[in-house]
Parts: sequence; C-alpha cells; structure tokens
Amino acid sequence: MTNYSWVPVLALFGYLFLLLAFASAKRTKVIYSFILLQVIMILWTGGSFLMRIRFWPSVNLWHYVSIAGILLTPFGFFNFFLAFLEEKRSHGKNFWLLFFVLAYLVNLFTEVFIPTPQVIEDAAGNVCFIYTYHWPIYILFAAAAVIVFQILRLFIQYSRGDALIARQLRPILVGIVLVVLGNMISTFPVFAGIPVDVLSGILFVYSLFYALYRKRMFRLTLLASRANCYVVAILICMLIFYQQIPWLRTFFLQNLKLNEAFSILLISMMMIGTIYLLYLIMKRFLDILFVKEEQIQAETLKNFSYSVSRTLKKQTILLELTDVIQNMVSAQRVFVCIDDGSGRYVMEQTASPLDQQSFSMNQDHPLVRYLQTHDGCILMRDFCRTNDYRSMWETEKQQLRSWKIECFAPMKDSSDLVGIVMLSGKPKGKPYNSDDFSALMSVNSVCTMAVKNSRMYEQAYDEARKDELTGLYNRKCFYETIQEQFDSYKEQSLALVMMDIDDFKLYNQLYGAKEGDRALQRLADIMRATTADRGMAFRMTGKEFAILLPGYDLYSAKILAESVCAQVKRMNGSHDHLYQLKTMTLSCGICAAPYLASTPEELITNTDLAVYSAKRSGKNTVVMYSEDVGLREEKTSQGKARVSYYDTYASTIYALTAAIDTKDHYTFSHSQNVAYYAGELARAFGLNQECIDTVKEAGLLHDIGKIGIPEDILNKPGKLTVEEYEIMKSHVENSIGIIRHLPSLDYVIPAVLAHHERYDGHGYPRQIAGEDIPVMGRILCVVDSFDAMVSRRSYKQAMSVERALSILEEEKGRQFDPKLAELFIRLVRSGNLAIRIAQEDAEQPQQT
Amino acid sequence: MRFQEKLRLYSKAEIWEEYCGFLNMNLEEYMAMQKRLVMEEIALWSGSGLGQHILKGKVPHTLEEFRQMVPLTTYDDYADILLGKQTDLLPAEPVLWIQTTWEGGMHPTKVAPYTKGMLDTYKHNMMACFIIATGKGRGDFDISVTDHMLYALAPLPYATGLMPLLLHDEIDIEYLPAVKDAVTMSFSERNKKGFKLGLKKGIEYFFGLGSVTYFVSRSLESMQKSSKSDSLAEKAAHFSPKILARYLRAKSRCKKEGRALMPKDLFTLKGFMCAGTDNWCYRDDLEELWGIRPMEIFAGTEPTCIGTETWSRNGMYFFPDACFYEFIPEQEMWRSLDDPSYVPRTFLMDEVVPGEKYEIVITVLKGGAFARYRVGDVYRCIAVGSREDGTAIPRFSYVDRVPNVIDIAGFTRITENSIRNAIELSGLQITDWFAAKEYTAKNRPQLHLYVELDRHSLTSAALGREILKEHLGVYFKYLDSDYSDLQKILGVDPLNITIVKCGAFEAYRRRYKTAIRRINPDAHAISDFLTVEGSTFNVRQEEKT
Repeated sequence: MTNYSWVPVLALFGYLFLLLAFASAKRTKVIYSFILLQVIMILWTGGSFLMRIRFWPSVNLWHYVSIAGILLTPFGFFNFFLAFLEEKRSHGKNFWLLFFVLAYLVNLFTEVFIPTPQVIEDAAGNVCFIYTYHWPIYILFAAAAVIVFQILRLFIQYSRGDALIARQLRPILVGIVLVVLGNMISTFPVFAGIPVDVLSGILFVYSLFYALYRKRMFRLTLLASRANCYVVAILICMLIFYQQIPWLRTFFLQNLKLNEAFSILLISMMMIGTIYLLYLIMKRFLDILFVKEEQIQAETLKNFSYSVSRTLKKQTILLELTDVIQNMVSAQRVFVCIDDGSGRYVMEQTASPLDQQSFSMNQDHPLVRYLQTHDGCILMRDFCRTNDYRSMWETEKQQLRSWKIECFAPMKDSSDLVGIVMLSGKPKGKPYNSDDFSALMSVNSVCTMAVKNSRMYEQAYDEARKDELTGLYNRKCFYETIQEQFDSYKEQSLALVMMDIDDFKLYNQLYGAKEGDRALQRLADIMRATTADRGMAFRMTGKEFAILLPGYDLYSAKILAESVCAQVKRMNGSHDHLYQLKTMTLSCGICAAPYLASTPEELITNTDLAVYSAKRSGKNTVVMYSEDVGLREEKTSQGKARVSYYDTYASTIYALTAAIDTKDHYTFSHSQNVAYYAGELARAFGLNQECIDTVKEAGLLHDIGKIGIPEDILNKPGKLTVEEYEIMKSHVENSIGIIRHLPSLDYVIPAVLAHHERYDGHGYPRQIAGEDIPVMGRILCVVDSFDAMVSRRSYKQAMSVERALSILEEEKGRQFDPKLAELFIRLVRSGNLAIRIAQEDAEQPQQT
Repeated sequence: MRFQEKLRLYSKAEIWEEYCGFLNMNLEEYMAMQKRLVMEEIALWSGSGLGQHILKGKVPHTLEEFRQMVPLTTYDDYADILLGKQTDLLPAEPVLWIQTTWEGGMHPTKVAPYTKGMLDTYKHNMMACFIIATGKGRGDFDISVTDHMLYALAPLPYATGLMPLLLHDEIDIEYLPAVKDAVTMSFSERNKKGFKLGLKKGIEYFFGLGSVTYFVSRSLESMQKSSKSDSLAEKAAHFSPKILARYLRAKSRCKKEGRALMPKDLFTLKGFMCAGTDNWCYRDDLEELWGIRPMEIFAGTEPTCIGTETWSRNGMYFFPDACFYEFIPEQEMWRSLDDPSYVPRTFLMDEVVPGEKYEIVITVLKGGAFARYRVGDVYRCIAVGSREDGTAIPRFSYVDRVPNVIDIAGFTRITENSIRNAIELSGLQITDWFAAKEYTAKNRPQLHLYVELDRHSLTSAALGREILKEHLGVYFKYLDSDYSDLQKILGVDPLNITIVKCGAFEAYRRRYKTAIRRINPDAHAISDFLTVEGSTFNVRQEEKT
C-alpha cells in the first residue's frame, strides 16, 4: 500500500456506511435507486482497491468487477436522478442499461474499451498498473456525456421558475461538478499518485445523500445504526493498526521476547478489543445524540398506552392525552375536540383549564371535512393553503388565530374521525417536524381506540341504566342508587318523591301512544331540569317516576315536587293541537329518611303509600307521608271495591239526555238503543264486564254534545249544507267538553271521541284509522250507524233492518271495523240480538 | 407568508394548487363553499343596521329565507348609509373605502366599504389571476421577484388602485413607474415614464383596462417616432443592453417588413391582464402588438375581483369565495327593465344553462355591504366546465353592461337620465331621441344617438350633425367626468349622431303601437325604426361614420 491507499479504503467504507444506513430506511423508489448507486460505486471502488492490492483470487477478476462498477455508474446516476425528480417518463433509461451491460459484455470478451492493465513490479516491490486505451473508449465517454447532457436538460427544465426544486437539485449539481472536476484534475501531473477521482466520488455520493436529506427522504437518526457503528469502528481500527502494527510487532518480538505466532495472536486480540471498545463508545455517544430521545418517546408512549388502557372514563383519557402531547412535542396549548356522537366535535379537554371554552365544530366545518378525507397531521400554514380553508368563515379563522393554532392532528380509526387535536406553537417559535407528527399520530391512534372504547362503554352503561324513551335512569338503577345514597346520607337526610301520572291510560287512548310518549318525554325533561345536579330522576314503570334527593328534607322535597307538578300543568297548554289536550296531572308522594324511614325499603314503601293516598284524595296532589297516611292506606287496601261512578251521575246524564229530547227527540231513545247494542256487541266480541259497562255508558253519553247544536239544524228535514254539517260535526267535541266536567266518567271519552272515526281514516274529528281507533269507539261507530239507519229522522224515513245490514256489509273495511260489522250482522241475523225499533218507526213506511 | 417566500419554500404545483385550486372543484364542492360562506354573510348582514334598513325587521336564517326576504337591491338602497360612511351600521368594520363614479351627472360618486376579510380574499384572487396569466397550462406559471410590471390603471381611491397595493403585499415586483410616483403623474406622463423605465429594466407584465392598454401600446409608436432623432449613443443610455440589442434587431426587421415598431419587438411579456368592458374589441390588436393574448379578469368596485379567464382564454370562472352569485335570466331582466315593480327570478351557479345570458346579482361575502345587489353586468354562460381547462364549473363570457346603461370602453356609464340632462342643458330643439351602443368599422365602441329635431326650429337655427355633436359632446363632458376622461386619456370621441326625419318617432309608435326603447333598443327595433323612417318619409338617413 502506498501512502494514499487509505483513500479507496475510506471511500469503500463511506459507501458501505451509507448502504447499511439506507438498508434500514423506508424503501421508496428514490431510496432504492440510491442503494443501487451505492452498490455500483462499491463495485467500482472495491474492485479497484482489491485489484491494486492484488487480492485473491486474481487481478483480472477484480479488474472486471471494477469495470462493471465504472460502466454502470452513469446509468445508476441517471436512474437516481429520474427517481429524485419523480419523473414518470423513462427518458431512455432502459436503453442506457442495455447499452452499458452490452458494453461490459463486449469488453469482457474483447477488452476493446478498457483492457486489463499490465502489472509491473519494480525491484523495490512497488507495483504499477499500466492501462493501454484505444479509441473505442471514447464511445463510452460519449455515452456518459449524453447522459450528463440529459441530466442537465432535466435540471434546467425542472428548476426553471421553481425555486424549491432548484434548491433541492443544487447539491446534485454540485456533486456532478465535483466528480467531473475530480476526474479532470486527476490527469494533471501535479496530482499524479493522488486518487483525486476516488475522493471526488466520495464527495459526489455524499452530495447525493445531502440532497436526499434536504428532500426529507431520509432521517439522520438512521445513521446511528448498530451496523454502522461496527463499520466505522473497523475502519478506525484498520487505520490505527495499519500504522501501529510494525511497531507493535517489533515491541512484542524484541522487547517482550514473544514468538511470532503469539505476537500475531496478541495483536489480533488487541485489534478485536479495540474495535469492540470503539463500537461501545460510539454506540453510547450516538444513543445520547439520537436514540435516547426516541427511547424516551417510546417509554412515554408505552406509559400512556398503559394509563389509558386502565380507564374507561373519557375525561381521564383526554387528560392523559393532553399531558403526553405536551411532554412529547412541547406544544404550549393543546385543545381536544371529540365527536359527541352526532357529528359535532365539541371541545372537551384543554391542556390548561384556563383555555377551556364552549367551542364546537359541526360536520360541515371545513377543518373537519379536511381531516375526514386526509390522513396525518397538518400544519395550520399548510391548511391555510387549501380550498377547505377558503370555505371557512372569518370568525372561524379568527378563532383559530386567537388560539395561535399551528398544527392539527386527527384522531382517526380508519375513516372514522373520532376527534381533533389542535396545538398551538412550540416554545421559542420552534417549528413542528416530522418526528412530532409521528409522535402525535402514535399518541392519537392509541387515544382514538381508548376514546372509542370509553364511548362504547358509556353508551352500554347508559343503555343499561337509562330508560330509552325518556333518558331518565331506570328502575334497576333506582334500586342500586337508593341503597348507595342511603348509606352515603345516613348521617344527613335522603328524600324520595314518587310521581304517578293521573289517568295516563286514558291520555294514551285519547291521543294515541305517540302523543303519550311525547308527553312522557316532556315530563322527563321537566324533571331533569328541575332536579339538575341536586338529585336523580328515574322512570320506575310506564307512568311512575321517582326523584331521589340526597340531603333534602321533607319540606324541600315538597317544594321541588310542587314545582314539577306546576310545570307539568303549564306544559299542557304549551302545544299546538287541533283539539285541547286532556290536562295531565301528577299524584305525588314524598317520604324522607331518617325522619320517616329507617331502611331504603321502608322509604320506598312509605313513599308508595303516600302516592296511593294522593290517588285516593282525588289525584293531582302532593301528599307527604305520615303515620296517618300509612294507616289509612292499609285500611283502604283491605276493603277495596269497585265503585261505579256511573251511578253517581246517572241522574245527571238522564237530565242531560232529557234536555236533548226537548230539542231533538230522536236522540234520547237513540242513545239508549246505542248503549244496548254496544253492550251486546262488546259482550259478543269477548270484552270483559268492565269494558261492557264502559261502552254502554259511552253509548248513553255519545251524542250528549248535540245539546249545543241549534235546533233548526238538528231537526232540518232536508240535506244539511256544508256549514251546517260542520256545525253538526262539532257535537263530538261538545260531548267531550261536557263529559270532562264529570271527572270520574272521563274513561268514556275515548269511545265517545272516536265514534265518528272511520276505519279507513276519513272520519272526524281526528281522522285516525284502523286499530288506532279505540275498540269501544269502533263498536259505537257500528251500532250508532245501524240505529240511525233503522230509525226515522227529521230528514229521512226509517230503513229496513235488512237494508241497514247490507249497508253495514258494504261499508265494512271502509266506514266500519270489518270484524265488528261482520259480528254485528251475524248477531242480528241469528236472532241473538233483539232489534229495538220505536213504535212510531215501526208504523211508518220504511225505506228499502 | 408572502407569495415570494412561498416561491422559495413550495413547489410550483403546490403554489398553483393553493391559489388556483378552485379550478379543480366540481360543481357540488363549489356550491358547498358558496352556500357555507353566504351563511356567514347572512348572519352578519341581517344583524347589521344596513341589513335591517332593507329587511325592515325580518331576520333570515337560511339561504332560502334570505333569497325570499331580501329584495334585489341597487346602489340607491345603500346610498343613505354608505355615502354617509356610517360604519356602525355595516356588517363588519371596513378597512378602507373604495370610490367610483355613479350614474354620470346624477350622483357624483359611490363608495363601497372593504373589510379585512374582503381584502384578503381580493389579494388571494388577484394572485390567482396573476399566476394563471403567466402560465401555459394547469400547474404552470412564471413569476419572479425581479420582474417588472407596466400598469395602466387609475390609482386609489378607485378599485384599480388597490391591485398594485395588494400585489405588492405578496411580491416585490417593480411597478413602472413606482406606485407612489405614479399617483402624482398625469396619465400620459405615467405612460412615458413607464415605457422609459421599461426600456431600461424590461417589462414582464402588463395590466390595465382593455381600452387603456391598447392606447398605451399605441403610444409606444408615437414615442418611437419622437425619438427617431436620438443617436445610438443616446439610445444606449436609455436602453438596457438586452433591449438595445432587441431594438436594433427589430429596427431592421421592421424596415424589411415595412411596419412600425411594436412592443413585442422589444419586450417579451410573461403575463398580460386586462379588465373592464369592451375588451373583446381590443384583444386581437393587443395580441398583435404584444405577441401574447391578454387574459381578461373581472373586477369591480362593489363586487371586488370576482372572476378570471384561464390559459385557454376561452371564458371565465367566478371565484367561489368573493361573492355569492345569483343570475337573472335575460327574459326576466328585460321584464324587470320594462316594469320596475316586477321581481325577477334568480338562479344559482348550479342552475345556469349553457348558452343563456344572465344579469349577475351578487352578495359580497366576508362582511361586505351589498346583498342581492344588481351590479349591472350581463354574462353569457358558455358551458359547464371545459375539457381544455380540465374544469367542471360553469364558464362565462362577459357580454356587456345591462341594456339600460351604455358603457364605453369601461370608462363611462351613460343612462337615459344622463342623455336627457345633456339634451336639456344644451338647449337644442331635440323632440325625441334614442341611443344605442354600436361599434365602428374598426370595432371600437361608440354612443350612437338618433335624434329628431323640432320641425319649427329647423328654419331658425343651424342644426347640422356636426353642430349637434359638438354641442352635445360639450355637455356630456360637463356632466360626466368619465366621458371627459375618455377624450382626455384615450383621445376618443365616442359620440355619433344621426338626425332622423321629423315625425319618425311618431310613425314608429303608430306602426308598432309602442315607443322605441330610449336606451339600447335591440338591433331589430333599430332596423325597424330606420325602415319606417326611410319608407314612410323617404328622407335621407344621415351618413354614419
């Protein structure tokens, strides 16, 4: 080896160093092309070096290896340049590969381009390699020149007017200049013996490496790999021992008097030891420089994952998230917005409580839209350059500016945007870099799953504890909670209010189940708002509710219960309806521990008794439990009997129908007939005795509203005009208006209200259809029509029974319930139902 | 970050995408942006004193309600508040007020407030125009900090004066002459100075009203003639070496071809933009003079910069974030012109039909004062999208001002009122008249006034066509400073007069049972009128020039 023989060694190690570093880099087209170039350069330099030291097996072999490297270098560089520019067209790349491979093969067999050098060894043992070139070598030079020309043309084309690309390409241009200069000056006599061309090759490759680094295609930390540390350690050792081995050998042989073999062994051991020591020192140093930070980050991420996996509380997870983000990327302010389930991203957590604000973004917010369709973090300055930013309102832009937001990180699970993390700037104006983005995305992906899990858990937890319709806590939750609260408030007080909606079944029959559900929801809203965070509201059964009030005494609980009752009353008048809704009222019972109960069970039982007392006291009242209430309710329950309220009002009803008789004498007997027919039809239909009694009472009262219809309309001989018919139709509402004043008879209202509804939905007043019409209303509809047909009226003669039955037959499924109409026809025809026809009607000629 | 910094940090493709990305939108995305931004404006405008002045207590919450509740407006609806600059009644704090002339003679000026949001959008959209003007296709542009711009625009407080200021906010290109110097110069001084500096430093961009850019371009010819006596040494002192070389080459070429020196012989423009009306009259000539076809942009005092053509120079696109656009179909426009009480229907951008003409109605976004405002411009929808441009949004061409206004070369807006005032002030015995915007044989716009004189005055006063032209011209100039500028700046007298035979108007009325429209009757009506006049009275029609 000459004094400069370390230069190719250095070059070789330099290439190996980069090759190993890039072997662990993320593989892209440009990285692959750079690796290929490294391999080609290693072939060139390595082959040349091994040839010059006449390494085993032969000079020729290493010569051909180096020639392969030399010939493929223009292609390798051209390939790299195209990949760097992300150029899609090949620009004859494959042609050049074929050309140089062919040139190599031709040279291999003919040595027409670069012949094998002549090795001359002088007396002093110095070796000289003599190359004899002929004109065909200029073909290769010309080809290389064409490639350089192509590269320069592309360089100009790409960098014209694009400062960014020009800057990215600049190191490559410098590399080209260096390699050309290096090869040129190596021919100057003054540089004879100095491998300037090899040196320029090293600089060339490192300029390409710098270009990749500038383009952010390579992270410097990759250089700190274990393999690279070994390569460098070996290189340094070789350089050290290359100089020191003669001295050491002399020292061992002469001073220590060791034999030759032992000296070599000792030197080898020293060399291995030094390499290992150097490796350890370098590894430690690089770890401090690069890896330690990554290790800290990995540790932080691990701790974060562990923390969030231990909890299902969203707030705890988000608190951990803001903490870890501040630790990892040093953001000064962190804002976290989470999807509330309806597509609204609500600010739920901030790094500082002082930053907490009422802020949310809807699904059409441009930032939300952008993050839904793009992956990864985005800097504010880049977001400002998108079309989505142009869609933002000035106030929205101002809001983000006021928080000094610099970066957005989505919390995404595949395409589902769970949340958005917004970060303000870093201390001292440091910019966010790709490492920060990686850290943020790692943290966010962990957090996204945790938030999703917590959301699912909360949803399941809520579903298990809450009533689906009203959103109040359910009965199961009530029993769990009352025990807990009783224990917690043993030393203080715990009040329980139970509320039962008065006549809710009637409400449902009157207005349908949907309206009933709406009423329950409104009631629940009132209870929730009134209770707020002072207690808990529960739905115990369909129409029973409870409010548990920790720390409340009886008096405070009574005020709250009365407030709820008052709001419910007001609620009745606050909705637009075609007709006046029945007033919804509540019967409330209150009890409180420890004053009147010593166990949770006793508290519940006593409150229940108070509710019964309220019901018995005429409903719509608040009763506080006392011992008297308890005793009274116990007695009542023992001697419970059904009371027919009809008996109480029979005389009133008779008086009212008699009053109609003075205006329209058909109605009085008609009502009695309808009651009779309805009772019989209900019985035949299989309804129980209570329903039969109800439908009969409804039959008696169904036309009571006709008392309000002008006599001239009631008794008009001819056909009614449209206006008159409208007035006539109002008798249904009139009937309800009268019956409402007989509170204990209000159970007949659904039947009365529905007796002019048609099965096909074209009746009045509510135009409900089919099974939505209460069964008693459908019964009344059939029998009312039948009796009207077979009776004489001011405007018509009585119809024959057979004719009336055939009309029932024709209209079933349209006006009448088909089953009931069929049943009624059968009853009449079989003689199981006696027809009641007034004497005068029987004497009159009948219509057929 | 300024545009010139972006040139260093981002690739061309990224910069193009940022400014011109709206051209990549499909119609659905475009409308989503429009509808989202207008909701902000609805909230701001409806809550302001100005909005309530027009809404009279109503508050729209949706776009549909907004279009129902807010009537179509004109400047008269805003004049009380805007002319008084009552900023507390505006939807947002204005940063500056831009001024323009109103209907000549009736009102001196009209002013429009500009908010910060509007100015930011204006700047962004101006840069988009600038980028597109210098490009040869999608993703391409050629702008450098060392470039020079020759501009032929009025300074502040006119809207055109904003453009150099806004561009200067983004990039340090040099204006020829510098904006601060130009303000104090007369129009011709500015041109001369601009060209002189251009000869030294080069001109890469040229921007101005179409008519003005044409006049400025022609003035190079006269400057050239006046400097013929300069020696080569003197020329070398004024010209940059590069331009001197080009000059010498061009001289011999022009001599060979027997033509005058043209700007294209000396300068290679990267971008050429023009604004205003009647640009189509000058575009071919300008292309001939500069070797590059001017790209038309659409801007105004009230609407800001709202649209631009592309590299294909074949129709323009409206920016989605400057204004919310509605379109009145031509038939509806005519109906509302005939019957001012009629409320014409409007259509949105996704409802326009290719081939149809529309009067544009704008709601200025970002706290702008004007809502459902009839700017007075008519556009034709050429197509929805373009394969050549790779776009999917509607493409328009500018037609002209609305028919009741005659705009000559983007300078003056002549209405029925302004002509009536001029006639009354002139004291000429004109009994009836109508006016139409027509084009000369050289394709230049002119105001053609058809007048009928009082038959009794014919014997007592000299009322030749030239006398009438002279007379009326004086009063047009007196009443309308823009009309005066037309002559002063461009050296153009746009007035042409035809004296029709006494009784011609009455004959037309008798024949067609209606009077001919005073301003811009359609070409068929004019032809019918002249036929009636010719056939019934057999009177020689005044020779038109």
